Amino acid sequence: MTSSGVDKALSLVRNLPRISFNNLRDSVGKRKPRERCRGRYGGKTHGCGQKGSEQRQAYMRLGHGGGQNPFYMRFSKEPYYKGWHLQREYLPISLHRIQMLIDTGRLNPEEPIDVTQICNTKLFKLDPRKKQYGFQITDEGADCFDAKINLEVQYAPEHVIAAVEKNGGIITTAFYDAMSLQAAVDPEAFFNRGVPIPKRMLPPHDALVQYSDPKQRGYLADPDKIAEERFI
Amino acid sequence: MARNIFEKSRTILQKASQLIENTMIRPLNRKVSTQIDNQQASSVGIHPAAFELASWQKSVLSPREAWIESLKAENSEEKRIQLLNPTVFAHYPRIDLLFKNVRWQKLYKHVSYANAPVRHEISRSLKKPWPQKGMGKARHGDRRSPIWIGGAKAHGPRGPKTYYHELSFMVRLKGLSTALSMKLAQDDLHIVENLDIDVDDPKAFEEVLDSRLWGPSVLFVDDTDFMPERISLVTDKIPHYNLMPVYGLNVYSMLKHTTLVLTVDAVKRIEERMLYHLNRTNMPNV
Repeated sequence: MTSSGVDKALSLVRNLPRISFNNLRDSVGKRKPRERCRGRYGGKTHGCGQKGSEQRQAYMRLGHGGGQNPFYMRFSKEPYYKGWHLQREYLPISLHRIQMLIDTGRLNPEEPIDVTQICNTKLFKLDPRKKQYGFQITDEGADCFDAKINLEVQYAPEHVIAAVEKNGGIITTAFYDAMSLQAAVDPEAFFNRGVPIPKRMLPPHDALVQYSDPKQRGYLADPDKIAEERFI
Repeated sequence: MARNIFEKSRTILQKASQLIENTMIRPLNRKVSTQIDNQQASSVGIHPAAFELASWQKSVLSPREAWIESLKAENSEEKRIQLLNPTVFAHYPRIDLLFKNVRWQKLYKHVSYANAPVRHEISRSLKKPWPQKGMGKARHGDRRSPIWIGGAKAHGPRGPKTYYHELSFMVRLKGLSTALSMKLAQDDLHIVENLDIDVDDPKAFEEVLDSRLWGPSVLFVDDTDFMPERISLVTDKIPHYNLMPVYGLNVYSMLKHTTLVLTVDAVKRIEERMLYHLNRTNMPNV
């Protein structure tokens, strides 16, 4: 039977002298004495050069180029990052992961599972300040998903909706704007601030279609149409 | 294939959690079972070998064992075994974490009172020692300068300086479990039923422990801070035998004393607290 590294290490330690204050050492390369700059070893001008604007610390701005047309001004702009500041990010969670969390007792299937519950497990870092607008569920593990849950996320594809509803669960996609999301992600910290609960804003124009679509189980969609889709 | 992978990970998790449960403090008469339920697996439709834990995984999760001894001179023939959780008592021997903990314990209380006055703090006159020119001497403004004997110190220590710092919670936690694991591995850890003794004389008590080769210095740890009378009076006379409640357990004391003696209650409390902190998800800012 192969023993683990821990067993090998502990059996090594067993035959070594007793651990005490004179046996201890910090991890390699952690503590180095500070090098003094004296003489020809970093001394005299201490890396500042000789006379001129450099030694006098009167530097020109970065990219200046000494007066000629700077590099960053020679070329036209391209729209590579146009609208990047408006893009929304949804952190992916697989169905397999959700099943694991339910099996290990981190998520309670009796209660509705929404952004707040997922963030309460402290296993996911959702930061609204980084333009992260919530969670999306991926269909990895859809084959062996067998929990009946009431799930509310920000995006779910067709396969995931089918997998959740096959077990008799409910899935909804809902939009949280940045302010409301900050309250939802850590309610305790939010209430400690003593600020009134913000009104949840409607989704932006490019997301309105998605959240009004019964096929994607949007929260703004007609409930009757959603019931129809569930039937299908 | 994909289904198999996820089923496998789920069933491994279930078996691992079973083993972990078995390592918790339980009634001592029950045997530790590391048998995996093959029937359950085959009912799902997976070959047992597909989800069998690897031998290194089994060895990591299996509990460690220690005799439950007594501080009294006469030992009864029947001895019971105390099961010890491997996460707490079989931690990888991280010497560097022990170093960090010991250094922190010594240093966070330290205040350096060294203070070298700066040139405007030296009590010497500001009078120019001699005229600027014509003397054939070097030019000076006052006798307080760092180049003068009795003058200031240019870049000296300045005022009381605290070396207070906080060590990361995990470093402290894992330092504790490393220390406990090292003590167990090096045969310096002994479990006792309780701290009751049958001798009143400190010398007699010392003889009892010396006969068992229980190290020059011994640290007795119990779950309570209200220790039994006899052992309190006896250890009061002996400076190298010390009593400590569980909440006072620390790496420095564990390394300072050659032998560590834990009561069964202390072991239960330590394991419960350590495992709680290692597995919690609602960690406040520590």
